[in-house]
Amino acid sequence: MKEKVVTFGEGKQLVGIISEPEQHEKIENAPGVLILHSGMHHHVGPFRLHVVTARRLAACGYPVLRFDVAGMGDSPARRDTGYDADRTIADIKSAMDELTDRKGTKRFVAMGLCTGANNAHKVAVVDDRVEGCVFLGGYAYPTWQFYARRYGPKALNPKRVMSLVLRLGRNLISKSETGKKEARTSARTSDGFHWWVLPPKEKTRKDFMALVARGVNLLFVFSGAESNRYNYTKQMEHAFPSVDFKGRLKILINKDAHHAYLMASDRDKLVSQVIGWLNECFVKQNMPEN
Amino acid sequence: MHPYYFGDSDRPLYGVYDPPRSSATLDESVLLCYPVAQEYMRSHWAFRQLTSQLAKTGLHCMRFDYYGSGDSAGESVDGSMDQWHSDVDTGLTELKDMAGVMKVSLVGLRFGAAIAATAPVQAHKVRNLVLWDPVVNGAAYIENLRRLHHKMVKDHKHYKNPWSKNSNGEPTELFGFRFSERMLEDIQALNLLNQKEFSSAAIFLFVSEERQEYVELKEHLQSLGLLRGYQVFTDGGDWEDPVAVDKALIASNIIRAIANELGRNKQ
Repeated sequence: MKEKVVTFGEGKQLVGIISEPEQHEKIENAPGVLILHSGMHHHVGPFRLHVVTARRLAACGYPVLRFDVAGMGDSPARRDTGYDADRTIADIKSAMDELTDRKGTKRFVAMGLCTGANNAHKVAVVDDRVEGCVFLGGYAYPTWQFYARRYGPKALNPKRVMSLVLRLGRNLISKSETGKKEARTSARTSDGFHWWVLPPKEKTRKDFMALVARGVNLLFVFSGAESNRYNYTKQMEHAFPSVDFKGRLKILINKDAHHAYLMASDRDKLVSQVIGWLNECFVKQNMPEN
Repeated sequence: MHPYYFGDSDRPLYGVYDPPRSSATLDESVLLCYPVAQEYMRSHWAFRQLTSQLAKTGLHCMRFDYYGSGDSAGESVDGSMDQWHSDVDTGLTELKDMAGVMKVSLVGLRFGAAIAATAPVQAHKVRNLVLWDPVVNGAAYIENLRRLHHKMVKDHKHYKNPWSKNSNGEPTELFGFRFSERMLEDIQALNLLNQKEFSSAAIFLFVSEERQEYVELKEHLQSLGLLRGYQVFTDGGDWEDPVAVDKALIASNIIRAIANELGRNKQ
């Protein structure tokens, strides 16, 4: 594995690092992996997650580009007045162009945590070059089973029922203020730059239909910290009963992990899971059958 | 802004060089020394702002990642005081080369300040050393990291066994980063109040709160005849606040003051 700093995009303003396999490590026709920024973290990633991931993936044969969109980390802000969401997607497309120009990579896997997962979904929908996505803490929609698992045990505990009733009462009293707060949050977060909001379920359903029809493989990894949004493996399929994922959806739940993978052992496990999934989706299909 | 790898090609360091952005470019440069572990992540944005401000005053600047941190080669457990000191030396040589100037100053934040202060780089004749919220006592620093780590994992009830420990029973993973026994020993051995030799004879102490250890460090530096300035600001910091540990450091007043001080000193 070796690494190189690259500057690319309009005016060569975007900064990224390509981790690439040594000659003997290369996998034929391996997809390039783009590691997208998450929240306020620059391309190193929380607890160095993106560096560790990029290096291990490269050592397993995948070229990887971790980078900062304009205005984040080491990439200077743009001076135009464009909309952040559009510019972010444009920057991710530029990253694909860069990996194509330098390494000849023509297909890609977009990987991201939190905001990065949101942007991975968005770019996959609009760019056919994306053939796989790794969503860390990505979109999740509740089902009745989700609610049963989340609130069922609490419903059998009188103390927790009383606590819930009191909380609901307080929420009702402060509802008007909360409503204003949510409106402000949505306005600020809709840009997908530092924050993100869950899209309407119907839009996501259509997106999933289109992605599966295109043959895009989807890996969702949820941490235990996200059990308040996603708490059983089949939740995604139950939330979208009309979508036939055709075996292209894989869900993993790391119930002991922190949202940003605080513990090094959790990071090691996560990277192994991603490598395993990449090999399953993109290497086995290249191998000649015996 | 010019990001690139430099140093030994087997163990490259990642650095970002910022050339002067002022018509009054003078022949002086500043090397910025990041904190280590999680505090590095908090400080990245603030360091980018600081390099930008310094470049506007006409100074050449470079910020870089130590071996085993950020984008530089190596694992986080590969760090040690000797390694970090050697990296500062490599960074100073690289900056002089890149900028084509011989005059250099150092700015260090938190443990980066301790590294910069104790680095045996006298050959570089460091003109000014800015210590920004320095870690004064390494043992107390590690104790604080342990407290924050414990608080973090306690808040996340998913962890059954949050501590990985060494042969002495001491935690080897602190707030998201693995620490080798050597790193822990090196950090715990640090006490700037016992330090007699510093990397520069002109030291500025810029702090975000008036703490006893900073007052003691100020007096210690005064007694050695090294202190050139001491200022207390009200922004940034919160280094011991568990709520602030994953928030970007915002410290515009200190950043402006450092840029003004070094900009003035370059004359």
